[in-house]
Amino acid sequence: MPEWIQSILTSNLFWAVMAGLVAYVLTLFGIPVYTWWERRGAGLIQRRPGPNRRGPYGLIQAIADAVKLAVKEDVVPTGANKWLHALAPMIVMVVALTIFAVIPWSGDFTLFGKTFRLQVADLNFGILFILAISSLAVYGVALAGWSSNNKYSLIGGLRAGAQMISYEISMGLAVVALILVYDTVKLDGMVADQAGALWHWGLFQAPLAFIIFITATYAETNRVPFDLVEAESEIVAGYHTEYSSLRFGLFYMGEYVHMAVSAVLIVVLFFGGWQVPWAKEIFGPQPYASLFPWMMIAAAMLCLLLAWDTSRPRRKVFTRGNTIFAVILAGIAAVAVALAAVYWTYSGVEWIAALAGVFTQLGVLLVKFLFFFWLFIWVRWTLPRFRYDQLMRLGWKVMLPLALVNIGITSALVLAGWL
Amino acid sequence: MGVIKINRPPQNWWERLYVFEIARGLGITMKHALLSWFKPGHMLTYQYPEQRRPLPERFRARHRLRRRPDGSPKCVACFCCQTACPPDAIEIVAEESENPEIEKRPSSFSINMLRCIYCGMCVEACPEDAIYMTHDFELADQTREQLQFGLQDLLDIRRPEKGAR
Repeated sequence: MPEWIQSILTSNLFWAVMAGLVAYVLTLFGIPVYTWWERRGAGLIQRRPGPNRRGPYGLIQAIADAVKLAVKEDVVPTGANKWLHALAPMIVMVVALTIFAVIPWSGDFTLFGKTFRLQVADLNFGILFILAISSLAVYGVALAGWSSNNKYSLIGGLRAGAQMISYEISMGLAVVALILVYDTVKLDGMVADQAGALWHWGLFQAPLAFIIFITATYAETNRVPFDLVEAESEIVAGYHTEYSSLRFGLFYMGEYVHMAVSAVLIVVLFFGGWQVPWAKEIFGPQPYASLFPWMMIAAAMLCLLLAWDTSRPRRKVFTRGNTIFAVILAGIAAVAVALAAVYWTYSGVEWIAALAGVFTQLGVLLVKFLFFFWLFIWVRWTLPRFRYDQLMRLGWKVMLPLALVNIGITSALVLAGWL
Repeated sequence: MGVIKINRPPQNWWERLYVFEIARGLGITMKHALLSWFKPGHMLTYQYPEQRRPLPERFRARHRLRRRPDGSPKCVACFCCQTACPPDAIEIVAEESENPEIEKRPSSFSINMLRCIYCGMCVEACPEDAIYMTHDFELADQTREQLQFGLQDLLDIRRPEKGAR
C-alpha cells in the first residue's frame, strides 16, 4: 500500500470527517427520503398509496418538494423582528445537527497500530452534552413564535417552551438511571457496556427508563402525540405559521434531523448501538469483520428484490424510470457482492478486516436507526394528539414521579449487584 | 356553564397503563400498512386517470345533441331548454328550416359549460328528445372560450377549437 494512503487512513482528521459524513448523509441527504417515507407511510397506514407517481415508488417526489420549497417567495411579516425571525430556524437546525458530533458510529478499531473510532468528538461528558444542546432547541421554536408578530405563533412558541421544559426533566432523570447502569457518561462507553448477551441492552437493563426516554424524545421533537406546538387544527401551524420558503424549509428539515438524531440516540442508549447480541459467541473472535460478507450479501439480496419489484408490470403503470432504477439497484448489488468476495479473498490482511468490521458496525447501527425512524412515523399515524392539560399532567404527574421511582429502583438493583 | 359531561367507557388497570394498548394500536396500523403495500386491493382509493370508478347509469355530465337520420340536428329551436335552464347557460339563435315539415332549426346553439350546473332540466324540457347528457365529466380546459360549446361541438361530441365560439 502506498505511503500516502496509509497516512490518510491513520489520521484522526480523516476518521472524524468520515463520521461527519455519516451524519451528513443521514440528515441532509436523508431528509428528502424521510419526507417521502413519512408521506408514503401515512398513505399506506390510511389505506391509500401516498405519492407514487414521480419516479419509482414516487421517490422523485421528494426532490420536487424540495425544489418547490426553495423557489417559493420568502415572506417576512410586517412588525416581525427581522433578526430573530431569521435566526430562529437556524438555531433549530444547528442544534439538531450538533448532537450528531458525539454519536459513536462504530467501536474501536486498529489500523496500522493506531486505534480509531468513527466519532466526530469523543467528549468525556457525551450524554450531558446531548442533554445540554438539545435543550437549546427550545430557543429556536420560542423565538420563532415570538418574532413572528402573530398570536398563533406566540401560542405555539409558549407551548413549545412549556412542553420542552416539562419533558426535559423526565428525560434527564431517565438518563440518570442509564448512567447508574452503565457507570459512564461517555456514549461509546455506554455502547461498549451493552456488548454480549441480548439482556445487556439498555432496554432490558432499564425498561422503565426506555419508556420514559422515548416518550420524552417524542415530546422534544414536537411529533404526534405531542405536536401541540404545531397543532394545525387549532393554531394553524404554531410557531412556523409566518415562515415560508427555505426558512420554513429549515424548520421542516430541523424536525427531521431531530427525529433522526433521536432515533440514533435511542439505538445508542437502549438498543446496543452498533452491537449485535452474542456477536462473539456466534461469529468468533472478530465478529463484525466475519459478519461483513453476510451483511453485504443480505444488502445485495435486498437490492435485487427491490429491482425485481420495481420492474414488475404493476409498478410500471404509474411511474417512469423503473428500468434505470432497477439497473442502479442491480449495480449496487453487484458492488456489494464484489466487496464480500474481496473480503473473503483478503480476510487475512489486518486493515481490510478492520475496515470490514467498521462497515458492519455502521450497517448494524443504520438498520436499527431505520426501525426507530419508522417508529416515529408509525406512531404519528397511530396515536391522536394530547390536549394541553393532558400533556402537562402526563409530563409532571406521571413521567416525573415514574422517572424518580425508576432512579430509586435502578440504584437499588445496582447496589445489590444485579445490573 | 355549558360544560358537557361525557361518559367515557371505564378502563381497567391494563388499559390505563397505556403502553400495551399503544402497542396494540401500532399493530393495527402496521397491519393496514403491510396489507396496503403487498395487496393493492386493500387500498380504498382509485388511481384516477388509469383506474376509473364505474359511473352510475344516470350520471349527468356534458351534453350532446342528437341528429335526425339525414344528419341534421333534431333540435327545432323551441327555446324550451333555454327557458328551463336555471343558470342561463344555453343560448339558441333560431332560423327558418329548409324542411317544410319542420318550422325552425337552430342557426347556433351554445352551452356555456362554466355556467351549466348539470341539473338536467334541459333534457327534461326538450319536446323532441334532442338533448341528452353524457358521462364525459372531464371538462377542464385552458381558457374560458374553450368551454363555450357550439352546435357542431355538441353534435359531434368534441371539444371546441381554440378561440372558436
